[in-house]
Amino acid sequence: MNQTKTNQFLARTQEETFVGVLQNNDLVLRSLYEGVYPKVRHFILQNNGVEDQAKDMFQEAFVATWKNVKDGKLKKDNGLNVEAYLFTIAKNKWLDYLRSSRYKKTTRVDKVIHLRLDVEEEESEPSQDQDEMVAMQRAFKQLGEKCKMVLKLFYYERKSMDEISSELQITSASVRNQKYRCMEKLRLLSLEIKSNG
Amino acid sequence: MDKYPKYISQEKQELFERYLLNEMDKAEQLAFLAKLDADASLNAEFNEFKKLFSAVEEASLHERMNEYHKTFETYSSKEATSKKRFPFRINYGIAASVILLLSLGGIWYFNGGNKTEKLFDEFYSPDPGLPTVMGDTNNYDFYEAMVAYKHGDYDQAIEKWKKLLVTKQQNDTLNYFLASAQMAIGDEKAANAGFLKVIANKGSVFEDEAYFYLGLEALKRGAIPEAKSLLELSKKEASKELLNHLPKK
Repeated sequence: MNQTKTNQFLARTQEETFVGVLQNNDLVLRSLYEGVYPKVRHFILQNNGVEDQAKDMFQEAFVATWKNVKDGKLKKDNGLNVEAYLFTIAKNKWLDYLRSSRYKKTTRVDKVIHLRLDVEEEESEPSQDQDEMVAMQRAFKQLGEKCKMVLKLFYYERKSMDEISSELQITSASVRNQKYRCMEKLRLLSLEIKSNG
Repeated sequence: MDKYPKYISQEKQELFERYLLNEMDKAEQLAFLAKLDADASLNAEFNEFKKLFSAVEEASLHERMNEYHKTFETYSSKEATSKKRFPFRINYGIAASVILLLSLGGIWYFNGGNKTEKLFDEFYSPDPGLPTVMGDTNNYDFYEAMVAYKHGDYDQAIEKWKKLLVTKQQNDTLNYFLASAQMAIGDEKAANAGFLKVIANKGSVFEDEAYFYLGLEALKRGAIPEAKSLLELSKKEASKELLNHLPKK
């Protein structure tokens, strides 16, 4: 008896996952998040962590994995499984945190230190680039709702001008102009934030 | 004089967007890259725009992640969207074959336990569970446990599902997720028994997943031939990928 699979998560191939991450496909990203988080949470709570730390560590790892797929550091051809990669990054980040000076309880560290798995993680961006990125993201938060919406729909959700036009009930020409003006505003705000420290 | 250098023109912005959104054909891409190479000021403008583009994307991703995380915060939300399932007849023949395979496989070991453990870690993650959304459901208890499962509270999910299993012994969805939770906490023996019940349900939608997890469990024990036989029975993409990592003979 053939049935359609009810489990949308497991029916996805690695290729579909890679393409979905590249295009910020919401269903793919949500599946990845919901699929891997419970395991990371379980691991962190078992190793001296608390709920908020599990969330923060996982989200850091999620962004790192997403970036590595986008930058081509994590490719579908090299046989890596995105879910497994994400889990390993999160796990390693937590183990690094346990080893760090921020975490002082060394007895527990001894128990988990050997568990670190070798995967190539993201290279740290130079600090100047990081500052710039932080400033830009802060600026994005400070933009008006309308601007945020247009930029998000175009750059993140990858919607066409026509789609945005029908979603926001404005003409395509207005979408085009708003997108330009909002990006200009984002840049200006970022420069202000950066120069004011 | 302006405090900061002037922002790029609309046309230039749209040119940069076309490149970053992969909308150029190969020839146009090459021409664009050559231009960047030859013009330091254009290159600087492009790099700045690329960062702004990435910042919008990353900030939006953060917003989405917080939205995804609500699934785990609305711990008390109960429910389900999946179709009501019904029990299938058990195919004892298949179950017996797999049990035999599991026991025979136990005598095979792969030289290099670390490698199999590493592969296990790379390929294993618990089934993400079924979507749970607000609404009415006839399977309240099942989905209450599913919320716990998705929250990573496997012990609580197991406890709840075990109670349901008393009256629904052959329900493949129940057996599958109970086994998934048991595997997540490292109770492989119980998990194997559950996955075997799933594949005994001829035509279960979880059959491929069950074979996959049985194969993974065999791999974890270092029983390579057994793992291969089980993985070959699964049509999951991950099973095929994993098979590629295992020795041919």
